[in-house]
Amino acid sequence: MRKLVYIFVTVITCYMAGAFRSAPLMALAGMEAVLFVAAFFQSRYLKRHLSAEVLRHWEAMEKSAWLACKIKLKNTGMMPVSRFQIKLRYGYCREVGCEGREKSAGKHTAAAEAVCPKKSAGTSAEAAHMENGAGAAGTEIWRSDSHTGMNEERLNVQRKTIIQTKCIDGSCGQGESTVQMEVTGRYCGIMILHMVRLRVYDYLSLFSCARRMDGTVEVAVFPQEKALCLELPSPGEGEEGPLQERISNRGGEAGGEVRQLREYQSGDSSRYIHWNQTARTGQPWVKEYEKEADSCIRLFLDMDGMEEAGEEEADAFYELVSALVLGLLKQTASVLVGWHDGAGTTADMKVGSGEQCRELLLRLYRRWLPGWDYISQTAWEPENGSLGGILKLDMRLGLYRNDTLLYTFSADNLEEQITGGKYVLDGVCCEL
Amino acid sequence: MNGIEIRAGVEEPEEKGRPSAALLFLEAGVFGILLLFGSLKGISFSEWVVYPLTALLCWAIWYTYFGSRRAYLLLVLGAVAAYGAVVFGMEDVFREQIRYIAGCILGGSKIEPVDVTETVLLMAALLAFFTAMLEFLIRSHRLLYFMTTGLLILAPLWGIRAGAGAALLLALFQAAFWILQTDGGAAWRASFEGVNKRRILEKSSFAAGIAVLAVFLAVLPLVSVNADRFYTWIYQGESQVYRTMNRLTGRDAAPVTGGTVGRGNQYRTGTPQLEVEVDLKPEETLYLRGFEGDEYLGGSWSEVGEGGLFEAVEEKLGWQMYSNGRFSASNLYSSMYFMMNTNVEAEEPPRWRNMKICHLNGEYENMYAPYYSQRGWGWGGDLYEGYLYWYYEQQDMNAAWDNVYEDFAVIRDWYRALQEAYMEEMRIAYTKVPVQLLPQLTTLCSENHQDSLEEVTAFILYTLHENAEYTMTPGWAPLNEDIVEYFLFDSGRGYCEHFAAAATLMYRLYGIPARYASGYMVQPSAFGLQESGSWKAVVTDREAHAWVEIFLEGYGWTPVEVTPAADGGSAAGFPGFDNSIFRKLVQAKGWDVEKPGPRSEEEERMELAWQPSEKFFDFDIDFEKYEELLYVLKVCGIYSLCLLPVFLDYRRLRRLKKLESMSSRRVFFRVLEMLRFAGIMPGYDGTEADFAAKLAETTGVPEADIARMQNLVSEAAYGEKVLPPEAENEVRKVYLSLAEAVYKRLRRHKRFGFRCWKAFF
Repeated sequence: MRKLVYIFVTVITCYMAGAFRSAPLMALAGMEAVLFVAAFFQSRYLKRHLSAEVLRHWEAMEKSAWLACKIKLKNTGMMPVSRFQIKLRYGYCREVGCEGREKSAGKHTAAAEAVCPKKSAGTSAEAAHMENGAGAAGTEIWRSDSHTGMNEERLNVQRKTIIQTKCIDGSCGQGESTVQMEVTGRYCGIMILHMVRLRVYDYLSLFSCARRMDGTVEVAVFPQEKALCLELPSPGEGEEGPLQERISNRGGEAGGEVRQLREYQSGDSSRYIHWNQTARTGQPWVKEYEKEADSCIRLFLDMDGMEEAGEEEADAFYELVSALVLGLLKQTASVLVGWHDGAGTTADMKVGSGEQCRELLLRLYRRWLPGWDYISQTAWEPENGSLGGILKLDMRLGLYRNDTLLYTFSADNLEEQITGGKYVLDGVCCEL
Repeated sequence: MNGIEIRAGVEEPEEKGRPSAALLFLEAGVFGILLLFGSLKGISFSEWVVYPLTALLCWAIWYTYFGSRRAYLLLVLGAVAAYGAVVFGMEDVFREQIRYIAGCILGGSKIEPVDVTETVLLMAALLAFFTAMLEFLIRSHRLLYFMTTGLLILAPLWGIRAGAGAALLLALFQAAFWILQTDGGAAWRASFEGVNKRRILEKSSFAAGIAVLAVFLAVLPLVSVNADRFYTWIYQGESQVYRTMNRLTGRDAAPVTGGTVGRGNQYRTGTPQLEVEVDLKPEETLYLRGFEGDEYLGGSWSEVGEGGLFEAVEEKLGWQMYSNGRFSASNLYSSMYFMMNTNVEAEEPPRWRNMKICHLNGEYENMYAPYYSQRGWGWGGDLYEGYLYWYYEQQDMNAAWDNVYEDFAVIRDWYRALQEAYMEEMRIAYTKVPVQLLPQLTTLCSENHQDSLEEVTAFILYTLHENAEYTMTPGWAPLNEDIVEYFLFDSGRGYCEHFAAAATLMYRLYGIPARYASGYMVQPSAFGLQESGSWKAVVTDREAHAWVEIFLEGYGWTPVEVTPAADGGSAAGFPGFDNSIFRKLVQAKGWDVEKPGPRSEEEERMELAWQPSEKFFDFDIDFEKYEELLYVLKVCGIYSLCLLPVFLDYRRLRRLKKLESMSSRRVFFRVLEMLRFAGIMPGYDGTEADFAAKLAETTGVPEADIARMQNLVSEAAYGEKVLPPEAENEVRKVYLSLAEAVYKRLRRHKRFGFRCWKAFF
């Protein structure tokens, strides 16, 4: 449009110069014409001398927090660039299917995975689909270790990505400089920011010259660290099974050791109130028990339906997983979490800390990638066909124990349920 | 939305300071518009008041806006108050000047320019605030870009000819702020680390400014010396469009006529419009009039309507009672001269000629008639096949009305009475001139008194030849100027319509009844012999023409050719006046008429089909034409000289400020440089053992201080540890004492270089 306006003004100036026989106007039109040509070459020159690359390919952030992403610019030319534009495509990426499985040499957590839409491979229809951000489009993932630079393996994994496009404008002087942008995500998952193109404009922004960029930043968006307030059954109350006893024996009054007494806090179970101390001081006090170093609760995640789930459903699931695991970790030393990976085998991971909980989430985000290091050695399938003593969480946010539904959470008011609720998990086994 | 939001990082605070590009290009824009305004005819203002004051105001706006917003607000409020006070106090002056300026814009050329300095100052101030508001505050260049472009392009329509200076300054303004306000059109911009956006844009705008200046100065001489060639290219394009449009709409076949004096170029298609057939080969140029102009309405003529005039004539002659459809003064008059010539007694009475005119498009709304003619019958059939005239050529006309056949004497007397009455009545009608529209022409005629019709004709021809050049592509005339005045006193270029209109008005100003006529002019050479023995000419729009007709006793309305002839002379001729008389009169009056005449059609065609020649690159610049540009360059030079001390002082302070962040080794290097400049201890490089002692002796600075400086610098250079900041400060202090001491020792002219140029102190 700008170019058309410029040409129109030049032509009109030229015509009026002729019509009124004005040499200065004619010189002006001539100058405009010369500058037009010069602008064309300037855009080419500037493009040749400007390059951009992302500084970090892998980032992690908490949901709703702002993350700074930096792009390094290098201008080797003699002129500053008054305007450049980086075209950015971004969206959440969820793998929804996988064909084949091959051994990879590298650890994938630090790997950069560039999303190459099939456009580059020549399927323009699908590329246009991606471009429009319409949703599911086949992409290929090239896995490469960013440190070694080795292209190791090609996997045909379908990624479900809702793509949006944004252009970033900026200026840069000679030498090196850095552009910074801030990004935030509303949902948990893997967010991909792909720098598609670097466009450089001449000083009058009439012409532009683009060059392809392949810089990709993958951002793992984790839920905020909130733990469910859980209550495991106390020894005296447990009439259902031996596991509960075992918990109470080890972690409760009978066998466990009281670590300390502390003031009562909202949500504390009344069964841990130290009545003697309470009577003495007039304030409620509760007993805190030492956790068993190797106690473990098993949690199985039934992720059937994840492929069809929307972003909000997936987000609620991940949020609940995080809160549940963190909540369980308050009661026990570790949680053994199992799930079915992309190849149909069962994978599991023992989570003992918040850090490991994030690693678990990362695994779940990429569960369609085969988890060679996580192939389960545990028997998750009970003989009678039910998960006896094992907690199970499914995509409908239902929490089960021994196929018995304990609680059903709601995606709409999940945050309230996490922070405000208190959940008693009867009969959950804690293995030594 | 896909749940992801991206925004710019936190912007780095913009670097403090005032962007010099903003001031420079703001002034360029305001000055450009003022220069443009100064080109308006009839306006004059005191440039040495307006330009410095405007520059000062621009500077104040820039200084306060980029310094303290509070000061800027105070400036705006102060300006508004001052405006109010000035406008209120000098209301009458402003009202009068504004009315005058509006008159100049709407009414066109004025003879004597009027000083409107006060209003221009007021306008310049408004303009400066408005431009600064848009560019600095709102940061929008689009409106100003289109405004300035519109001003440059449309100004010629109101007779404002943009000079090279105005065009250059406005181009600089447009390009620089285009860059300074680059926002990319994006909703947001990325932020920068370690890069100052403003500085980059400023640098880019300066680069673009230099490019604009260089290209403009390179293109201007090229265009100036070959302007006609460039114009011709444009006219070629325009004529192609015109011809195509005319052919597509079918207008090219319609016979041309009308009283409009063209304000632009004339393009002919060469499409046949009439067929003229005569029984005898014409020996004179044939004028076929289709339109006769009565009153000049400024750019056009009203059509002659003589009904009222003939009523007055009949009343004067007492013929009202006889007046009916067939017998009326106008009917009698229309064939009077043909009839008289037929009945004048002569040894060899001239033979009238028959002429048949056929309109090729079949439409006969407007008819064309030859002079000294009578509508004929008996040849041809229906109207669609043409119409017939009997006519005489001018050479066959005999004005000796006394020698008529006896039986025609009575009618002769009627005719004579009719002619006298008509002459009396038409003298009033055809000497009307709207003098308020034509002040310059009126003055010209009143200042050059002429006695006879011949002298008047000679003067008119001389004036036209002296002031104007014939061309079909004179360019456009401004809307606010009268086309005749513009043609004669400004552009000096025009075609038959302009020549004829100017001559008609001049005749009238001299009190000689004259009419503007238009139609076709057919040369005898255009006629070809037909098998039937008649002569036929196909008349195209190339033969369309305009001329003057004056009233001659015994001849009636007679065409006078005022458009220059191909040989540079005048083709004007009527009974009693020809080229030899014209030359004699010119000689007697001492006029020089050696002006190039009109170009032939062939020459016109050659011009349109121009090919680059060696002359294209011959430079012969008329510097007088670029007075404005030279003026701008001169003013820039003077301003630069005036601002040079300020710039040098600013540079000195910056360099001294840099000293604070300089390493001790760099400071010591500056000491050595300073000593070399002052011619003190020329052979020393600072490592000598007696360096401190000798320098102390020369400058009076304590030797211990200099030695300490020497030690610290060598420690910084060769030691393992970095010097602490206190030690660095110590070195700087010694440098300053040395600089002060050296400065005092220097002679006056050297002191200037030491302080201002080298900035040692």
